[in-house]
Amino acid sequence: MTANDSWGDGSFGGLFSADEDAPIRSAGPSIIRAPLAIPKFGQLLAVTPAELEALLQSLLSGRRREDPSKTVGGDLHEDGSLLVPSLEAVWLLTKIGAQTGRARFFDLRKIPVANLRSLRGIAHVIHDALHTRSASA
Amino acid sequence: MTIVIPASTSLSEAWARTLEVVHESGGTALHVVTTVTDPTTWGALDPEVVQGFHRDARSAAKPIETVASTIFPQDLYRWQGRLWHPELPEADREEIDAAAQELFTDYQEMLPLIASDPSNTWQSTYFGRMVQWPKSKPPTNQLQWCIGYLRTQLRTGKGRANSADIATGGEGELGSIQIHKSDERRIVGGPCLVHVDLSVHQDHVNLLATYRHWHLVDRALGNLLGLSRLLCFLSEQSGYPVGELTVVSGMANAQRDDFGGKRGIDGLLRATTRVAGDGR
Repeated sequence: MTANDSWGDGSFGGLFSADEDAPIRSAGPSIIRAPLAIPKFGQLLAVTPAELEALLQSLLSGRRREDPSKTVGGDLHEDGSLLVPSLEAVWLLTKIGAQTGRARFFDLRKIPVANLRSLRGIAHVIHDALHTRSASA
Repeated sequence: MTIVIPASTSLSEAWARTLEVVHESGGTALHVVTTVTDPTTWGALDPEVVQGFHRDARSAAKPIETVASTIFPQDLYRWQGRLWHPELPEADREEIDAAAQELFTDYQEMLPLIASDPSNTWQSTYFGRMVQWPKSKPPTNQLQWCIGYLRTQLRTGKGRANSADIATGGEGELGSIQIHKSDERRIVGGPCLVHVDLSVHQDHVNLLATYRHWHLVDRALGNLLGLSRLLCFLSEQSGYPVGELTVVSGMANAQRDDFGGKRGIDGLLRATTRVAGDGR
């Protein structure tokens, strides 16, 4: 999309400049979300589903920028772990999938939706996928 | 013939009035205009009335929240509770910028996985098309551009009667930025929402959405909710207070064939009125 005079002078700068070629302003460390600490693929293979669940919980806290104690206090699934909104479930799979170095490591066609509704369910989906794909590699 | 539904205050009232009028017109109607004057209010309708109706009809309709999230993924956005303004302290402006940037980045990264969802028949979502137009290189983020444009209007005091557009389907292409443009030949099926127009008028940002085919029973409530959240997001990010929300549908459909015929839709409207009363 090209800026022109009738669509603003583009001089405001920053992230939402009317001129898309303008550099994106970098915000200070207190503004931008802290980098997420996600183990590499090899390390992920060594963790148990319970450890994965704890990792996913910390990722959610980081994404939401909330204290972990607040995340833990959220609504629970009938399996006793946290209920996870579907979009955040997809976000978690995206983040873990990126660590594998394989495009489309997860495929929603092969994952029952019911397994993505709780943190424990998602941890098992990830654990199973990591070990299945690792064994077949 | 064009039907203009009397303007409603809330989202659910607008939905119920539209369904009622289209149902009384025989079940389908051309060129229906639905307006919500305060899109930040849901109204008195209990959404469970509608979702229970879907279940009773053994429909595969998705929950209202799921439909809404395809237009604006609220679970991924940290609402700031204040409007952007050029005179806000820089740290506040950067906080507002960061909330939007995280939303855009997260969603763009998620799009390949979202595309693998078997229920997603056109490999993206409305919001996906807004933040990353398919096949455009570099990726076109229409929302980012619209926010920048609106902020410039606010800063320069030009925001009186200008407009910006967001395309979600081929029919709504803008100049040279779309790739799917007019070679997208689907007649029925997604995307039904093809265009979003933003206008600043009397210092408020207003949203006009164009649907090719508007399914009033299993989609429209979620559509209105998602559009309302999109408008609130654009308001927060641009600095203009929320104005009105209008939907124009090329064909509005009361979906009698899917939900028990005329008697079925009569029952839904009765339940809606009974629970919500006059205020809906």
